[in-house]
Amino acid sequence: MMLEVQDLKKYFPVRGGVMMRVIGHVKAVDGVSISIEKGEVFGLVGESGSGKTTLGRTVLKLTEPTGGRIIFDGRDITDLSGKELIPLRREMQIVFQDPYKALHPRKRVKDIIGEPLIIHEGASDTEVRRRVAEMLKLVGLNVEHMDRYPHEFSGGQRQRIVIARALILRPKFMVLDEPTSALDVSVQAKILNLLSDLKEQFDLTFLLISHNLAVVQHMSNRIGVMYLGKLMEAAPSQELFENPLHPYTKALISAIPIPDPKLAKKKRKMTLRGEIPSPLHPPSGCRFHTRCPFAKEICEREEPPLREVEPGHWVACHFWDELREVGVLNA
Amino acid sequence: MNDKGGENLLEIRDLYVRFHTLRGLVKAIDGVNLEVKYGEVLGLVGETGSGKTVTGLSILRLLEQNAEITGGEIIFQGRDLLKLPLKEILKIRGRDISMIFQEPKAALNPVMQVGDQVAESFLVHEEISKKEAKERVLEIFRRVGLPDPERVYKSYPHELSGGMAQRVVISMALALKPKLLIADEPTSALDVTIQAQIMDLFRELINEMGTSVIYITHDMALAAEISDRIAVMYAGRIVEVADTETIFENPLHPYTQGLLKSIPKPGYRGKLFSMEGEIPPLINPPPGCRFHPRCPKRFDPCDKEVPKLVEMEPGHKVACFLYGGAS
Amino acid sequence: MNIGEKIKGLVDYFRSEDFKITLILVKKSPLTVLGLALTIFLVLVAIFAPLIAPYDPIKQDLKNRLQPPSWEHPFGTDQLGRDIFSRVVWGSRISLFIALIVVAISFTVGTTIGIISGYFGGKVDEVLMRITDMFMAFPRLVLALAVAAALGPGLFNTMLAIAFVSWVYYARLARASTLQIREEVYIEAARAIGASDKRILFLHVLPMVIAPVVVQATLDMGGTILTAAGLGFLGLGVQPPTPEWGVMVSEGRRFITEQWWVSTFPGFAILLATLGFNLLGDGINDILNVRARR
Repeated sequence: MMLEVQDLKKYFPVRGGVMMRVIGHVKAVDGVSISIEKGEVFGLVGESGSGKTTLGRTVLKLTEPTGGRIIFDGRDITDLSGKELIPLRREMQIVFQDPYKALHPRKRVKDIIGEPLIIHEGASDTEVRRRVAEMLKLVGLNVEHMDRYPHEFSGGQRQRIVIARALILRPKFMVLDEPTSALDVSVQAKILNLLSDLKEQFDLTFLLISHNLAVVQHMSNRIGVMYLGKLMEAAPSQELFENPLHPYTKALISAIPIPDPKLAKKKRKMTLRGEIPSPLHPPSGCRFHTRCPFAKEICEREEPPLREVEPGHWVACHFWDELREVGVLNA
Repeated sequence: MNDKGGENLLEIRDLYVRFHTLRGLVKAIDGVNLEVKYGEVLGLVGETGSGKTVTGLSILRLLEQNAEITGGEIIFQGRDLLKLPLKEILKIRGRDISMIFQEPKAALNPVMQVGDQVAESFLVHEEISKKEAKERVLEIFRRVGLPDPERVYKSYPHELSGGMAQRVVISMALALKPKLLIADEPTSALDVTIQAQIMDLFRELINEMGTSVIYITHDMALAAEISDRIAVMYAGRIVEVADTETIFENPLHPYTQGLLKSIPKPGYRGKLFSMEGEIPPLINPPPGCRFHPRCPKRFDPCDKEVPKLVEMEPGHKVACFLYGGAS
Repeated sequence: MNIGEKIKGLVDYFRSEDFKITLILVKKSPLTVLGLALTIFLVLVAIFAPLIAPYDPIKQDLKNRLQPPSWEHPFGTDQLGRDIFSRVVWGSRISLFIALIVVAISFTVGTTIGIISGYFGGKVDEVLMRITDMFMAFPRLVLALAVAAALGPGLFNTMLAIAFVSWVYYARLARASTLQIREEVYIEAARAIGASDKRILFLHVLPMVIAPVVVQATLDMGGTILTAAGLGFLGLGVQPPTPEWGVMVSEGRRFITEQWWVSTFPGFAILLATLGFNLLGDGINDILNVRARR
């Protein structure tokens, strides 16, 4: 087990009033449990306010959890802080969403990619040059690019630099936070392929976060669907697509534009009504009930627990069984 | 719909636009020819640098200071928009041709109630009282599915969610029932389920009003959901135009083919197809066909001449030497 | 990085497109060019003062007192017969020296405090900001006067006094910049790879904060020269016979109606020096803004 997250909570205090006292909490992640096996790609899907990005950050201890436990490679890292976290950074890394913002504009590529070497190994300049050159080749960039600045590169190239920096210390686990959302379709394909290759080459484990279900299902072994801080459904990738049980998942799948007009016509429309509620005031009971086309009275009262209803397939819905027949892709 | 179906509402002929930047001259649009018929939705698809946004902005003369239109015509209702004085363009904006953008909140004045902003469209172009304008605004708010229109009227942009703000912007754009709506990535900044709602709304309104739309997006699949025809742009030129089904079933241009193959499809888990190379810089674009350095099928004429758009079958045009296109 | 690499880095920069764009921007603004020219001129005069000044600036020659400008004394002589031209030339060294030292100190102290305050926030920030508030409540010159009066006159005390009141502006500027920069993704990225706060502050935040602070520093050079001249004028700064421009203007006050040149030429020097730095500072500001938008 590479990563085990138990009932993780991350609340952000909201301050207001003249005295700036705490008047409430944004419950960005509100009791999520996930486990990721070694070598697996776990995809996490959700929209705004789902908490998926916060989860990714919290798992890496880039932000302190409010509750729950994080077990990384057998070690409980929940309470580690400050200096204790530094050696951990060798083993867990992150690829950010916006390659245009994730690189320091005043540093050369060599210094950006090589910095982890200096921090963790006190590497000499020659050593840094050698290892950075190696990394550049691995991610498909020219060695000469080492002395250039980020603004001289395209989006796809910058993302490669971000990946090179994340991998230079050969971590075991990587959080990929929307790694291709800011990129063109053709570039996205290359970066996703690169990530797949590197995963094989370095025996990595990924937590892939994205709002794009098509990207997630393509790369993931298992997928978790989040909504307003909670996990709604989790299942193996293929299974989730062919047999989604939670109404929200069905709606998400229905919303993906299909690049095949004939198939698109066969798709069952499941357009949700209403806006995504604010994480400051999540709905009572099942958080999804305000937008769910099938919501009944119990959904407002009682929050459905996340249960394993079929082998490996978890869902949090009172009526998952009754709604089984409501298909999406093969309506 | 309307009786002018089949005729061209807007015709862009041989448009050339370049930008004067510190780094040099960016040849952003290099000979674009495009038609939009009455009552149709034309999807304009392209990646970064394709020129799709610049094309849209040129129509309403919304380009930046350092842009220069060096050639071409944009014919709308018998007049060349590029030759009209700004005064005339101002009359057209919002009334005959409207435009909406990706970031709804960027299009709204942050210190003005949104209702008043939409009312402004009415007050500028028509002779009606403020009270009447407000009534019309509430009506259109209801039509676009905004809950509690009175409350929304009094709201400020930051109080609205992305989806609601975009509905307000759509209200503003469609308030005067324009003949042409230019929509530049109107749903890219929205969540997927909200995007689906807005797309549904769009389809309804367009059908009801018979508005023609140029739907600009980088997402082929999204374009397919709403467009009657799709035009694919690459590096400042149109490379292929066809109706939606045809372009997916029978893409002719190697770029279109590559683009379609690069999209991750639900259910498919293998390696993604990826095209060689990268989008070229437009300061020193490749000679001849701008796609040739990346094209798996390139041959002799490709780096020497620019291929013209040739109609292979009715309604299906492609600019590639594989299919003629030599001058 | 060793010296060889640093030099190569500099050479590469001057050959780069980036630098060419900077040159174009500079050329586009004649005022910036003027500012740059004046500043360089001032620096050269200061460096080559011994070669340029024909006379000893301190040696008196009472036979030649209060001579009007002539070929032998282009700026005339003062009440003690000293050649004003030589004194103005040597005065450039004094003024530049004061400006450099004062700005260097206040820039370093102020920026460091500012970035620490901005980055860590909380109590540290509150305390530091209340302190800067206290300083900023007084006009700079008044405060400098008070400190100078307390410390006593002289070159060294003058510099101390001005630096003492100047650092707060850098702190504010650096803090404002830091508040924005610490939210950037590349700062989070630095934390993600295990960089310590100290490392992030000085190697990641500081390089980004430098830009607006450098603009302030350049403008400040002119302001410092002016303030030092003010203190000198009031008798609280550099003391005669040191040829500081402010002191010279002050001494010439008595003769202003008949022997106008005693005050005018040093006054003019103050004007040119301050103007040069101000124009240069504004120019750098404009260029940085244009580049930031690119």
